Amino acid sequence: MEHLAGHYLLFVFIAACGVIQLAAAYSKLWGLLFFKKRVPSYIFAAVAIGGAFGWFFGCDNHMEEIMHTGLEGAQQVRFFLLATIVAAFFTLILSSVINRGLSSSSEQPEVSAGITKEGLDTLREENYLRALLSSIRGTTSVSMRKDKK
Amino acid sequence: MTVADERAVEWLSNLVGKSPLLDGFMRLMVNDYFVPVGLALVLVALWLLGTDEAARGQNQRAMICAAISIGIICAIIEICNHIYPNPRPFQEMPWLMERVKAIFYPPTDPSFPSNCAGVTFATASAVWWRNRRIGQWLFIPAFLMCFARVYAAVHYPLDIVGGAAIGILVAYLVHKFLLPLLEPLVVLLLRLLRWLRVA
Repeated sequence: MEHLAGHYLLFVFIAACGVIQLAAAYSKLWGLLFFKKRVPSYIFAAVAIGGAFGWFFGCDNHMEEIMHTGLEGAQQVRFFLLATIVAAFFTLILSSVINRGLSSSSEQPEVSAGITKEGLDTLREENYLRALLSSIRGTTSVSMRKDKK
Repeated sequence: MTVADERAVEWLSNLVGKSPLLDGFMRLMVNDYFVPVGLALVLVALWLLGTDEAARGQNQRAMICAAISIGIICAIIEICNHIYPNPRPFQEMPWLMERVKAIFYPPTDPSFPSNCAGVTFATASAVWWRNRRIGQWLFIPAFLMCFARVYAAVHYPLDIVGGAAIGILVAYLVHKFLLPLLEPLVVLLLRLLRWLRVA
């Protein structure tokens, strides 16, 4: 049972990382991507999701355990939430390190038009940690640059 | 359960062992992990999808609606199981046990209404009310999982119909009445998460 729980956590973690990359690439949230371009991100997502499902359900030992009750329903939900939250944190931190050079550019049309982005939309222009920092400072990096001007 | 229900389970589960390919597919669909995890991962993706804040807000509300609906469904089914502890098909027709064990395990909780039908159809409906394009696709795995449950002789068709009906109804009520009622809280939550740059 513990063996299955550990593998289930790993399965959801890898699949969730893939799903986050897929959705981020589709929504052009560059600050969340592990790769600079969308195509490698889609490939990574396909490999992560397909690999996680293939490994978990393709392995005979797992199927045997699953077919003999496996995890309890509530336990399954708890593990899913835990693995997904860890995957989200992992993505936010790793993507911030990979995209440390990414910052909002004055050439962006939205910036020049004076539109201030909020929430996830800021991740189209900068990495997560930078976006969070500017949020904590009470101002977006866009308005900070305007002040400098 | 009705005679027609028993006949349907017996006829469908009679296919077990006839085709290894079909059995393999049903083993994948029938278990408690493949479809539920797949649907939950779609909800995770929905959180990030959307061309702008308004579109993403709709998707995020769909996810919240699905989560609330699933919680309510589980509570309703728990109550129903206590009030009406209907036996599983393989308990009423012991000769089906071999077929159950061939592709699944014999669950011990009551049969009506189907928990998996309630949860999967509630998820698909909750998304469909807000995002027709993605929601319509979620009904396919929901249907396949429920079909596999009858194939494996762990549910009667009426259990599935009952569970699906409750799932769809609860998702509709949450979408139409409960979520608008909770809208100030939802707005507050989304505003906080937007400030944290995660919504």
